[in-house]
Amino acid sequence: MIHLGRVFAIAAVAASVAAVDACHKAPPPPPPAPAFNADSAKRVADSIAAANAAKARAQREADSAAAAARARADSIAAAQRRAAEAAAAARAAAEAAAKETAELRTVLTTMVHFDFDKADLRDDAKADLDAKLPILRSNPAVTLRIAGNTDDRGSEEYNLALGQRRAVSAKQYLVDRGIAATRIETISYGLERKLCQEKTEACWAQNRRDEFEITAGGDNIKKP
Amino acid sequence: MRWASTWLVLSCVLAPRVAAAQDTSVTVRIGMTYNPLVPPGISVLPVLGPNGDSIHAIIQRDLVNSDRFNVVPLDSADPRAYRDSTTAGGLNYPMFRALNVHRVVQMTMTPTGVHVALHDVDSAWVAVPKDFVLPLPALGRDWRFSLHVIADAIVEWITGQRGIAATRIAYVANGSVRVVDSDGAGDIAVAAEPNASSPAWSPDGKAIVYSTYGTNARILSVTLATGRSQAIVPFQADETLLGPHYSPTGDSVVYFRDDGNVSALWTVSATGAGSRKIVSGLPGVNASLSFSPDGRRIAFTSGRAGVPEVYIMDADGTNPKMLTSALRIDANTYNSDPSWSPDGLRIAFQSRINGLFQLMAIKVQDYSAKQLTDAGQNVHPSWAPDSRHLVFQSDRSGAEQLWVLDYESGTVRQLTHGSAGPKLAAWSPRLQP
Repeated sequence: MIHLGRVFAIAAVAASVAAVDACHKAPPPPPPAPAFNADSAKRVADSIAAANAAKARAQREADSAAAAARARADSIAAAQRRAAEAAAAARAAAEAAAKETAELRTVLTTMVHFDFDKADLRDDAKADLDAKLPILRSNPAVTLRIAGNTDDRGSEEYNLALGQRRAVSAKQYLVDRGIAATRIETISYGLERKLCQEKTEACWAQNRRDEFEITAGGDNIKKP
Repeated sequence: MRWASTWLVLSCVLAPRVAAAQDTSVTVRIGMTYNPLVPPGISVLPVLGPNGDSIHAIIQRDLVNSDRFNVVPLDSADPRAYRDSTTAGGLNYPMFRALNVHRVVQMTMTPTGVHVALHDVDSAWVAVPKDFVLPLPALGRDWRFSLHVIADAIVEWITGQRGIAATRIAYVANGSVRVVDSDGAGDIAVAAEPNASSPAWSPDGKAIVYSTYGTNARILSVTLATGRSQAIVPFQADETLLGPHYSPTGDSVVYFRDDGNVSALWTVSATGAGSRKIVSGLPGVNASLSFSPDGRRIAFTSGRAGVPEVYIMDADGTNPKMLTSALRIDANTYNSDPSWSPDGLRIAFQSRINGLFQLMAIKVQDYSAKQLTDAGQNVHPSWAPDSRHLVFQSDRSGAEQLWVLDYESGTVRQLTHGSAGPKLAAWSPRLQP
């Protein structure tokens, strides 16, 4: 900003300096009255403006450097945040996938139960098997071993054969609905692998079962 | 044949013949009468010398276990308390007569074993004594076995029928095959394979065939002398191999296979060669077979009629007949686990009666049945070589144990006393040492 007052002040100082100078020597001829020189005022104003401009420029540069630094810092932070978010998202996705796999594994390994001395599938058994089908279809790498079991009543050896019938009964149901037979093994444990020991109907019912074990492809099961 | 009886009398006073403990030679009928309906009183004199007490205990217990005598224990531990040098046989026969004892067993230790004399109290004379070798170490398995051979000889001298003390019982406990002596001693593991089931003896008593179940299911044969098991039928994917049995000739092993849809009867040689199907497409679930002693027929369990029943068929799988039709009561009927007696006359099996299994025996000739047990639950009978005793599994004591039943008298005794839950017992044939 050009302060006109300063211009006059400088002029006044210049005049007074000239005047003081004149006091020490023979009185010079009275100087001409100082005249307002627009040109030199402009030059002064310009130089002041230039100085200000330079100052402002410096200030701007400083500001922009600071801004750049801040921006860099911000982008690093942002990148770190994004990375963290991505990692968290990946973990969450993995957990979700693991949870999903676990839930799907649970469906695949859900046991199926039978009536005494029978190997035919009850409606609840069929429903449990139906739930396994879409998972098996969507995950062709999954293979199963079905183990047939009995309660502990009756002939030990007859029960070993009955266990095999129960295992194959479930396998046949799945194979008839499109699952390749080579994906399913069957074995029998007869009455040898009891889940409970009591001589009660509840315990016997629990023992009359097929168990399903995932023998391959069980680590990453996709939702159908 | 007067000269023959003269010779017999003379032979009684001849020097005793020495026989090795593995004596299975001719029966010595010594002119004593034996009425099986009236078990004679019998006593065993105390035995002096090292391990004399054990010898006495083992022989006496075997005579008790034969269920053919009324064994009268003696009070005095000194055999000289029963002597009378004035009698020809050297014993105080009137004293024994007063105790209702008709036969007295006198044993004397010798440098190599034991000298056995059998006294007929009624006639006051001694039958031909015999010397037996007892293999060392004393109290070992072979030593005990030799005493059982002696007991069996004594039973034969008195009754005309050989005893079954020198036999063993195979069974399963904790998933392994084990063998125990007929008196419950000498219990050992014989095969290390886990998940074992259904042991069965070879006719010569030298091997046991058995199956394993689960992911490595096979049929194996263990040679008892070496303890080595050999797989004679390998794992078959998607098939269950059921309890193997030797044919009575010992050449082959026969068993059912079930693939979940179809039941088949298979055979393989005792060494695992020549595996082939005898017949396939048998109706229903079939298991648990037992050969007739002539090898021509098989008794087995089948669910073909809706509930498990006992059937017999020819060994080639033809001509099936239900044996247990007369026992069909209701939907709770369950008859299984047949065992054909070595004399061919009867088939023992388990039958569900009032919710619990009991042992039954059915006569092959006329299908007439007799209930053998009613205490607790009793399953899986196996005949002894005398076609009279049966080993089976029972919970009558509160825990699962093996028991022995005498078909004639109904007497039962507990064979095992451990905590392993033994099952699937199979009585051996008569064994060589």
